[in-house]
Amino acid sequence: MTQTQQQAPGQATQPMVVLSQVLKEYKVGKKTITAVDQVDLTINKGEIFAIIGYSGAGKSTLVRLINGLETITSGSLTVDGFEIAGKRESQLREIRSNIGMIFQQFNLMSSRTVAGNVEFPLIVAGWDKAKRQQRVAELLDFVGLTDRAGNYPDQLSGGQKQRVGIARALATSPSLLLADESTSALDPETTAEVLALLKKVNAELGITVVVITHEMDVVSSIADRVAVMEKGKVVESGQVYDVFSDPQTETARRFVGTTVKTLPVGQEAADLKARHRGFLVNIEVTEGNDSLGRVLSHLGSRNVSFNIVQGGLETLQGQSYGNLTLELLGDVTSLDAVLAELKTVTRVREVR
Amino acid sequence: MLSSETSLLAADQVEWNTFVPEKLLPAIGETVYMVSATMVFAGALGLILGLLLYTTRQGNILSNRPVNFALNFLVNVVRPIPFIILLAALGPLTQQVVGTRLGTNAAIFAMVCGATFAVARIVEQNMVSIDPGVIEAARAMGASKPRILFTVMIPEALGPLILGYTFLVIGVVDMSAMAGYIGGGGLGRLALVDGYQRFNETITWSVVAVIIVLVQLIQLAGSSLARRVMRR
Repeated sequence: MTQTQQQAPGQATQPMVVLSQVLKEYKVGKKTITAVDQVDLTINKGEIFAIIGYSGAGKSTLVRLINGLETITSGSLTVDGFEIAGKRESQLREIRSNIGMIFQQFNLMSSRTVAGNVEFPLIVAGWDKAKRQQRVAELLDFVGLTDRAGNYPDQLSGGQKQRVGIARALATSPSLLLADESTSALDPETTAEVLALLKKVNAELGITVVVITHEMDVVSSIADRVAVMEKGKVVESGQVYDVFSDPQTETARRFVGTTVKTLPVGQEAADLKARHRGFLVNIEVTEGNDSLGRVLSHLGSRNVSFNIVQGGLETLQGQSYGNLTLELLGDVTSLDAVLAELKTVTRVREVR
Repeated sequence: MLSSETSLLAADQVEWNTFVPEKLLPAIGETVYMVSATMVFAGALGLILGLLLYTTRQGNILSNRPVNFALNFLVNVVRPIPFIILLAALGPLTQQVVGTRLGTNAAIFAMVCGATFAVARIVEQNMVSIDPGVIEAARAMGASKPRILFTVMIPEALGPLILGYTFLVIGVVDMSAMAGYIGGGGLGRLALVDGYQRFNETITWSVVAVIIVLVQLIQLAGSSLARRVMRR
């Protein structure tokens, strides 16, 4: 297993958001529901941090605790050193101008134009009119919507609406951007467009981005680090490559399975075995594993031939990761020797 | 037989040359005055009451269960009272406030009392249709509660609010017709006293026709204004 612990160059390591023992409970009638359960998490300045989980995992609640839209039941949460827990709405107002937020359903005001929506946070922050107009023009240029300034949200496509949402969230030059399922209502092409914009926000403006999602593609295309949430708890976290090339929990494994073909099981395995008479093994492919190719290229000299019958490779943080299912053909003794050699260079699992 | 038929016919005759300028036009003026005055006062009071009903709901910006319960109770007590009963029942209070319990201004006071609670309900119901996500976004930007109320909630609900108010203006025109009962003026009194009570169907129906035209004009104006605001 290749472990990549090195930091990307230029990446800051000062903490932006620190959660310690954060608990969020709701009272529904007489029942208490725990949405966020004793979470410890540190999000560093300048990184894109993804929180992935299925719906109901508590990730949308967690992100709302960061800007105080939801109140913390117990524990501590700081943003840029400022404690959020226990603050009143009026005390949170100032810190909120330092935290931008975008939403799954965009949440634009239908009664205001594109320019009017982007201008709103500047009015809240008390900017004078001339400065506001200049800033709105800059922001619309940044998201590529200058020609749409006078349109109303109803006249825009989903991707354009989200770009307005991003421009609005960036208006007061926040140091943190929260993206709550920001691409879940968009088609794949528009998703890529919005993700590219989020990456640009992070790279060009140095803004820390927290992305909440249930889509593995979002994590693999833009995130530096990831936390996997399940039933209110963070069950795994770390560098995206480390977490998804070696998932420790069933939830993380299922997310990896949505983008990378993993070990075939059940009907898929049965179908493969029906079509291929040879011995089926699944091998893991990881970045920088040159030994694997060397072993495969010498199979012929061991009287074993192979076919690639199923598999998939994905790039996570610029590093390859995936699985291949091979059909090995040869006599039993030779196969055993080959399997033993493969096991010394990568993870090998028999397809059952 | 013949003479009674003649007299009935005679009762149906209208001197249009004097009826229009001396009776119909002043009556239109009085109705417009009563409806406008009522809408100004009830519109403002009902807006405040309606906004309180909406914002004190659970989870809203001024969330307050006891206040919300009390306001709802008050509205539900006043709203079902038939206007004609309210008109009479308010007599002593009208005397205190207006100085008389008869006439157009006394009628306006009763109409304001009745219409305020209807306006409140209409305002509340139209505000509920606002997307909570938009309010959440405004909170996330650090907007204060008054700012959210006046620069987010009201503009977002403005189109439906205009339609709601239009609906109520028509209801108030209907209320004003009953004002004749306590000596208020207007088209209602004209139709009732000069038309119905004197068996002059021509007057009754021509006044009704004028009311219909008035209502059509109000609806047309309200709908086109709402369309412009909503841009749909």
